[in-house]
Amino acid sequence: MNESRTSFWRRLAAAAAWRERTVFMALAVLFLAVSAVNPRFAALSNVLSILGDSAYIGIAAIGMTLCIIFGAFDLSIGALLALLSVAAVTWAPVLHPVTGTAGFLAVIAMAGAGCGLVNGALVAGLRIPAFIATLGMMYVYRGAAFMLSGGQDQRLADDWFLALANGDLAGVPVVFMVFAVLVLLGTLLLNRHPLGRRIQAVGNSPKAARAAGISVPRTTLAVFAIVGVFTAIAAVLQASLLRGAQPGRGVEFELYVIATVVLGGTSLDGGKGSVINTAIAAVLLATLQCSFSFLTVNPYLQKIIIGGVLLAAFSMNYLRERAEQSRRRRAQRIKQTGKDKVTG
Amino acid sequence: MEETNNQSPLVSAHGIRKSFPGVVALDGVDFTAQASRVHAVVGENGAGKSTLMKVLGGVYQQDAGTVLMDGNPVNLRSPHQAIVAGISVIYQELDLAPHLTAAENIHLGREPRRHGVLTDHAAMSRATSALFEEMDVSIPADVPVGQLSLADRQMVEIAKAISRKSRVIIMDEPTSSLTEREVGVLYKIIRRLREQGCAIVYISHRFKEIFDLADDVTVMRDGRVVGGGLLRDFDRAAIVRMMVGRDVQENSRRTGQVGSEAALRVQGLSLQGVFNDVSFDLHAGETLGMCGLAGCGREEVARALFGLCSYDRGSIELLGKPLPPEGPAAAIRRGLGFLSEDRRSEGIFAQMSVSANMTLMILRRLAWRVSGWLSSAAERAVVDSHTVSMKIRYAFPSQEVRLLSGGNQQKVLLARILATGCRVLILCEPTRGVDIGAKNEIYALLRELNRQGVAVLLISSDLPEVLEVCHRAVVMFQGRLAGNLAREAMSEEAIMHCATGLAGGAA
Repeated sequence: MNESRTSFWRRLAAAAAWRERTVFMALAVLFLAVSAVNPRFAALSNVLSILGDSAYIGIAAIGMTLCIIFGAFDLSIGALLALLSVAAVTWAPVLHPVTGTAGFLAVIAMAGAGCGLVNGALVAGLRIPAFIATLGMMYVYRGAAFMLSGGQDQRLADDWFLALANGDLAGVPVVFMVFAVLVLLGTLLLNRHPLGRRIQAVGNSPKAARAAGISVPRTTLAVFAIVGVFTAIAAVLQASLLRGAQPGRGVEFELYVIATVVLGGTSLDGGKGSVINTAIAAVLLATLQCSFSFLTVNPYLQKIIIGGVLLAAFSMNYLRERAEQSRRRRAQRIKQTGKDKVTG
Repeated sequence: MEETNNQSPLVSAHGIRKSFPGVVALDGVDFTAQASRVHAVVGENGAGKSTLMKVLGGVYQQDAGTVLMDGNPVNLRSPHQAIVAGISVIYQELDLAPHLTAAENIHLGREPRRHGVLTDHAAMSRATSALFEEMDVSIPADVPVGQLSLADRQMVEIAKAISRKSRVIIMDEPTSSLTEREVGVLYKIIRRLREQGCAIVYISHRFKEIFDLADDVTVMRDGRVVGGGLLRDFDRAAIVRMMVGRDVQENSRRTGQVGSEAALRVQGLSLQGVFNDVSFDLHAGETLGMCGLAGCGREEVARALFGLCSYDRGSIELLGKPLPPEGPAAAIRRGLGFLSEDRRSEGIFAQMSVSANMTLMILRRLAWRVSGWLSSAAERAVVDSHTVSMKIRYAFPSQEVRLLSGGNQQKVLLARILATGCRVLILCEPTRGVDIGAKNEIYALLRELNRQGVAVLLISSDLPEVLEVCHRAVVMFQGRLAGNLAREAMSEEAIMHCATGLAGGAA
């Protein structure tokens, strides 16, 4: 009994760890390979800059991870990123004297949550599939970004705003520290908060969630609001990093973010995923981008490589699931024939 | 007898075995059906009737045994091959494409062609109309079948079988969704098919129909054929006896103290076309069995009580207070617990951990008052205490629940519900797909709950289970309560009598 228990333990831990570790292993292999070609790649300053680069995609990807675990998508976040960064830059001179930095950030976060609630209301209230609802809102937010900015790029001059994302603490970029804190928060929210449990439950089976007394519409609203908040944080940091906002920015951003989540191993069917793995995937993609410049890869080829990495990651998910399924089926068959022999 | 033996069987199955993980569904079944005869197949839920028909229909492949058509072995590896061999099955859950018209459904995969490529719609609807005329039904050929009534869809299925020139037509509970008049039409069609030389295999729970239509009968129980022959050699009581089979043993029902006040009072609960005027009381400390055959409406009643589906009329009173139809969350808050019969899609959260599954309904209680984060210690305490008291076996609390056995998954679900401290429990098939050890542990748990004053409504197709754990049983037939059996009156035969509409056994 004791022995079978440990071996089961070990088998399971091994399976789980392998799954968890794939992204991390890919990151390590890539990092070591490029460092071998060009040792300057491994310099601390370069590592820190890669981490900084991963941040704002990674932050948006935390919200998206929750959304995909919930069993939905949000295609509007690229346009929402543009709208919120334009709003942040244009409102900053007006709001900041009144609210202070913290208040200003809160207002932008609330705006993000509000936009997310609109998405959520379309999905939960009007029963529009998330894919279509957020596709529609993508155009609405994009149009709003252009209207708010009058179609002009917005330059950022406020020092306090520029300091938000451009500083570092003991060499570590502030954006990465914000990212790290949010990854921790996202992980806790998903696993150690009632809302996170409900999100997972609905992602596993909306029917079972309803039978367990969970309000699916309310959870939907919460999920999209969370996506909005994380998008708002990413928008503010991006505006600060790039010293301004452009209404046309962030096209394909949502797809890049979804790609990051998928690369992190979160199942597109929902129900299961890891914020930490998403974060590692964000770092992996930033590392890939950085290695392109170190290895002077043709920019057209870069896109092809990124696409290839995604396809490889996705096909690995499939192959792994198939292997697991056939293994389970075989085990069941063996168990079954054993039973038949005993009974028959 | 001589009639049967003179004729060679049109289709016959010999020694069919089929098992699924954990269950032997068919255990060496022999079955023959002859041309120009209607052959009824009867048995309790789970006796193996539908599995046998799925083997004949090419949906399942038998583990052992052979199927012969006209004495020649046939290999039915897909529904298509069965159709080619001349066997059509009309399943309870109809197999039509809702967006296609009747004509398109009937000709699906073998559409008449014009110039070799284009579908000849005109010819298709002409052929379909002619077919419907021959069957003496009036169904539009060019309306998407999704817009037709259930009965009409059933007729389309039959037309499909006829147009394929099937010689064996298997009907699984064909009348469950039909009105009286439509049943009459179906009778006529079946009789005409018989005259034309088809073998009709007719699965039904309704004795009236069987005695109206059938020439032969086969009785199944627990995956075996337990009797059969010419129908005129049997009466209803004899068939019921064969269906139930087991000697009715002195049952071990316990004599617990049952409270006098009603924990759950249901009055006149009705949902148009599903259940009608259902009234009963469930007392504290009592386990009330709710029996009935598939389609009798008992699952729907259970779901309506919990707020998972609506009802038109009637009232529900829970622990002395009216229970408004506000959905499951409201019912849970007021002390009602519900276990779905469909563990996989409406029970467990397969990819979540054992502990997350167990604590899902009491998260608010486990969260810190101010911050809202879950307390690990509180969660572990809840998980540990239920694991011990219910003997739940798993490797570690963060193990995904899908990796547990069916019995342990079921216990995790029960733990989740019981953690809410509910006083009234509705359990649908709590031991389905559960091994015998876990089954007995679940029975012991029910007794313990009764002792603590919890009232249990047990919906079960497993009659020995009902006899073992229930103080009383109500039986449903065609959406109505057909019997209310007190402890002394409860027997498998009495329940089956009520469930097949033979007796209005009042207690």
